[in-house]
Amino acid sequence: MRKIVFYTIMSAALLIGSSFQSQAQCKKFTKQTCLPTLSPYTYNGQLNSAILSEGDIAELLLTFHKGEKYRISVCNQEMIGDVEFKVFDTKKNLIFDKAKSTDQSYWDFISNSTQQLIIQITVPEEKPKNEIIKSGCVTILVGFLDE
Amino acid sequence: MRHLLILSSIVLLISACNTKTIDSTLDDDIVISKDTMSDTVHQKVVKKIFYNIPSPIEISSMLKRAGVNYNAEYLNSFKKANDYTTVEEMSTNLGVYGADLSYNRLYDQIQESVNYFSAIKKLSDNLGIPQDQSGSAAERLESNLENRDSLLNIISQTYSNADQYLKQNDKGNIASLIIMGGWVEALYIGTQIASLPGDNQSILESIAEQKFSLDNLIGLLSNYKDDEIVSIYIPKLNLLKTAFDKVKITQTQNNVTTDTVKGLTTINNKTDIVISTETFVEISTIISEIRNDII
Repeated sequence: MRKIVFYTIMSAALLIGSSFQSQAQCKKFTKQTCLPTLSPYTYNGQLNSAILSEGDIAELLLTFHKGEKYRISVCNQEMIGDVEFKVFDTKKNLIFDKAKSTDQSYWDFISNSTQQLIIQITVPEEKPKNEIIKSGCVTILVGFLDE
Repeated sequence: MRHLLILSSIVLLISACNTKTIDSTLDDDIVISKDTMSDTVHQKVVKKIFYNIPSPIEISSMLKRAGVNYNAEYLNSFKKANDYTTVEEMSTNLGVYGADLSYNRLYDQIQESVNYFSAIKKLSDNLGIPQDQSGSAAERLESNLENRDSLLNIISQTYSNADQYLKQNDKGNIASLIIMGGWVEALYIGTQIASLPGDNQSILESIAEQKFSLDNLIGLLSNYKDDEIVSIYIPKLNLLKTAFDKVKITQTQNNVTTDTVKGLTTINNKTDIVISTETFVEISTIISEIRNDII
């Protein structure tokens, strides 16, 4: 009984430690890998970063002003594969789908009217499904071009 | 060896049960969202929703394009930084000063930019944001005063570093207050100038368009609705929302074209904005009250 309690406590400690490690890695990943992809656009300063697992969806809601050039950059750690990156308007009409675009992880655009857009990220599910579900850092960054 | 096997088994077992554990450093919104783009409508669970607000730099740029002129009277004095001692005062005014600094930068007010940056650094230090996040920026500022683009990068980096630090250290509530302070100040400056005699149609439209950002700001703060400081501002912003709800914005369907050479997509549509004088006065009054509560 004591040994079971001991091993359970040790296991929990290992998991908590790995969680902190994941968050620290996410921070490092965002800074080193994602931020440079925004250049020459100016980062809007708001961090949108999370540890997501296979099948998870994250959304970013933001107003984009007319006449301003923007870049939306999506980065993720390799272990979760290529995330789906789509942009919808508030009526859920598809504006952009990375799968139908280039291999770049970012999208540059300009809108001739101010509007709210929804940036949707989906982590693909591995087929066939494994017992262990993969997780990794996903970051969405937004920049504008100050001209 | 036997002990290692037992330990590994327990770790794997707990890990399998917790594969959907939500990131504990961030509040989570679990909602059902419909993806209507596929032929078959299906339900998906959105694990995380981020709400972003246009930065003060961006709003200042937008207001300047709309015709806003420089007037230091509308800014919060940098000298008041010494008066702010509570977390609420420091965080909200850190955002306010960010907007004031962005405004000064746009109009090449160099000495004022230095003064405001000093105020920002003071509040950052008092909030416990590490020196290495903003200290080197102060040195770079002094050697780049004449360069507007460099100033832009320094301001942007200072606030993004602070945002990242706060969110990574379970202080997203403070980060949201900073963002709110900046947005309120930028909108306040815009409404004050739009109140002056003259053709202010473009400025009015820019103000009316903040209707969208206000919804996102309320969404952002609602993530921290149990925080005693954030909870003070949510009703005030909801009151502001009742005024903005009277602004009518109608848009035609988006039509998207892409210039593959330039790598730039253009979203084409037409927007009509209707904001009455009464609605503008109501918005201006409420934002002034919120701003006065902050400064």
